Amino acid sequence: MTAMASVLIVDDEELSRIAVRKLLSRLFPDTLVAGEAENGRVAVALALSLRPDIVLMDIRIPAMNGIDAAVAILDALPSTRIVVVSAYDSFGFAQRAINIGVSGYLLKPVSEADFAAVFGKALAEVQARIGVAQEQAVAPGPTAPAGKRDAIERAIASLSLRELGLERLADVLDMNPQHLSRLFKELFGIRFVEYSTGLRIDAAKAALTDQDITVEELCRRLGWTDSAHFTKVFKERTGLTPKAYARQIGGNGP
Amino acid sequence: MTGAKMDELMIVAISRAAQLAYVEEAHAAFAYLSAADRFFRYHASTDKTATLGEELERLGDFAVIDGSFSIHLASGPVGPSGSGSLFIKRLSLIDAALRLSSGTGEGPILVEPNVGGAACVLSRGGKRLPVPKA
Repeated sequence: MTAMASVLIVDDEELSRIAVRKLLSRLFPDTLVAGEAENGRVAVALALSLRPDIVLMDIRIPAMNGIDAAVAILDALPSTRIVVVSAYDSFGFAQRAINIGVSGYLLKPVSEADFAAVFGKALAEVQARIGVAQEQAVAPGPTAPAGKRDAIERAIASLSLRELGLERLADVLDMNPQHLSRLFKELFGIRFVEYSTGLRIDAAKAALTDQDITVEELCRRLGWTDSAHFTKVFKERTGLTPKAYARQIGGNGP
Repeated sequence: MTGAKMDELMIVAISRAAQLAYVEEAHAAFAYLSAADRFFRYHASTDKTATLGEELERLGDFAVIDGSFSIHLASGPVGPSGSGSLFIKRLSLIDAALRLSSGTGEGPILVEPNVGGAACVLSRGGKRLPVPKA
């Protein structure tokens, strides 16, 4: 990645803004704090002028609450990632945040481990998008397949298997899903669904070797809604059912 | 001031104190205050149930705050790996620990979630107690 990801910090408490800046400087020194806002209206105005890659947004802030400010920012800048940083952990706030499409929710006081996981995920999505955009700007068309392939692989790595799907990947890469589907086949030689199934089966095999896990739990973790279908696909790919596979390798699986 | 308002004020105060500790690089204070923050939020919640895993995590935070007892998990039909999917009455373990801590209860405490089996034993003063037979 060559461009530095930019961050807008929105919080009415100075102490919280200082704490977030410290977290960024310790854990993500390559990010740039483009600006800070103390209320929702200023946050929206600053976001529109600075066009940050990531907004760290408090919820209970003056003038316009953080959820409404996030909606306004995402309407104008859909590729911006919003991470909520709030002292309030009510289900209602979290539900509204999820519904408007925020990338993560952090509860104050924020530990370094939580910040690294949640902000790091948003940053990985931004970096993947920047990587693809740079490739397209430098070499439009299929003239730089290695760079595009790397960017897609980075974007896939930024997603959990539970959320990995063509639409989600296209969202991370800021691309049209149909275009991504064609590009994927061109670069990888197989369809995206086959590739993602392979990743899930590999993860399932790894989980079955060393974990006491049921098929249902395995499916839940892998984002597979139908356990019978999972068992069928697993058998097609490995020649064994998950249970038989776990037995064969001596694990304690289902 | 109502109890709920007081709870909210206390949680906000502890949260701010923890952030201040982080900014001042007082890492032990940050860890202690973060444990207190998580514990008081959990205690103030109006939810009726929790997973055994959540209750055990907050019990761990209480042990950090209180400092007078230790927690030993027993391996049995319900191990720590299964604690995320078992629902128990929220605060049942923590209330028992509070009684132990204040000297009004007797240990060890045997937790019996709905699938049966020993999951957790508490003792006072950091002494490991034998796991009772389920």
